[in-house]
Amino acid sequence: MSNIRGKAYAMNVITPQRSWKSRILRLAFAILTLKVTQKDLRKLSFIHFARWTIIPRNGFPSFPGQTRGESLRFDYLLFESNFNGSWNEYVDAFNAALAVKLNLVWCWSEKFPGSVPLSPFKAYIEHNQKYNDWYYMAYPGSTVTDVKNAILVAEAFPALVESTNASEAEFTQAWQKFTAIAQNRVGRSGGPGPRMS
Amino acid sequence: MGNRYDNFYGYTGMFPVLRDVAGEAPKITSLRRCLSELESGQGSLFSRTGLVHGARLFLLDDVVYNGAPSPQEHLDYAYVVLSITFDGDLAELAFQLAEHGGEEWDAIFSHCYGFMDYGRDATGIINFLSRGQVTTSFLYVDASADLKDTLSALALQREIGFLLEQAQLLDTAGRKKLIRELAAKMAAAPDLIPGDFHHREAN
Repeated sequence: MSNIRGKAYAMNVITPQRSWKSRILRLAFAILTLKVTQKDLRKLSFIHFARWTIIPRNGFPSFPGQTRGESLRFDYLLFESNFNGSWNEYVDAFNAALAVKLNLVWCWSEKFPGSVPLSPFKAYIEHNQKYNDWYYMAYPGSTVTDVKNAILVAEAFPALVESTNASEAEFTQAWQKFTAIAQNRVGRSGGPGPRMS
Repeated sequence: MGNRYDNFYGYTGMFPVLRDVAGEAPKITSLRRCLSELESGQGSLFSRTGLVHGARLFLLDDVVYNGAPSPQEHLDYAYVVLSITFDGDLAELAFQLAEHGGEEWDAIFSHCYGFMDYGRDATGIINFLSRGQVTTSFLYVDASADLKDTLSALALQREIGFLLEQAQLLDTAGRKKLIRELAAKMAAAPDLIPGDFHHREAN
């Protein structure tokens, strides 16, 4: 399936909303861009990247040769996410940890049932989801946690290399410090991962 | 913030698909076939740019109706939606696509209005991408390193796993030797090509 590449799943959801509600949503996004509001999102640690795009009803791109532009009543909210795990795991976790924020973003979309209870929310997402025809990930065998761990180990490695020129005592100390950082961060990664849906 | 999150850029573009021509296969069908045949691993279209963390293409042939009392509406055109998360800015990406986009880039977007009016150089590509761009309202990226550093870190991570195993039974001199050898190996290693799985190999 083109929604899946290794351990990554790419989801697209597009929902209609009235233009005046888009103006309110833009204010909500202005608040959510503050990193202090993203701590819970970061704690989930399975979303590589995600975005929301408000497409105004008169803002669908047009090119020479088209005889007319779109004539629409609604703006459209496009949500795109790259995450690790299955669709169900993702929606469950998102719902459990971010119900308030999900409501803040999607309550402006037509017929949104609310993020709680879960079943109607899942049905809404599934109904409005668009599947990918093609999907690429630069590191498909690695999860968000794998990448974060790899970065930490890579940042600690130069100091360890440097310590090989130091005294035995200094090297021993550096070695212990490095192994404390690395030992839980070098698990097996790089494979295609479990079969997902 | 919009399209940017730290040093990452989130690009979303929508490109209207040409109307069908009598006697020819429907454009949407032709486009879906093209996308189904597109490579997505190491050395593929966006892998070759060396900038792209993730990319997707999907066909938006109509909007979804969620039921009464909302009025139902339809799109006049189908769209190819292109979404990319990459390092740097659009100009850098356009340059890389001009260098490496090749036949795949043409094969996809030749199904779209206006594509043939734009040049295949970096200027033409950035103008095409800009014309089709819809501004991101909120972008989130849970990463801190660019693509090159991310791939290097993942490669080192795999090697450190071996090093820790082997170093357990060694004395200080042995450990120092292993560390220096690994540092030299990583320094001499060629840049990794993004887009494929990296399986751990036994020494």
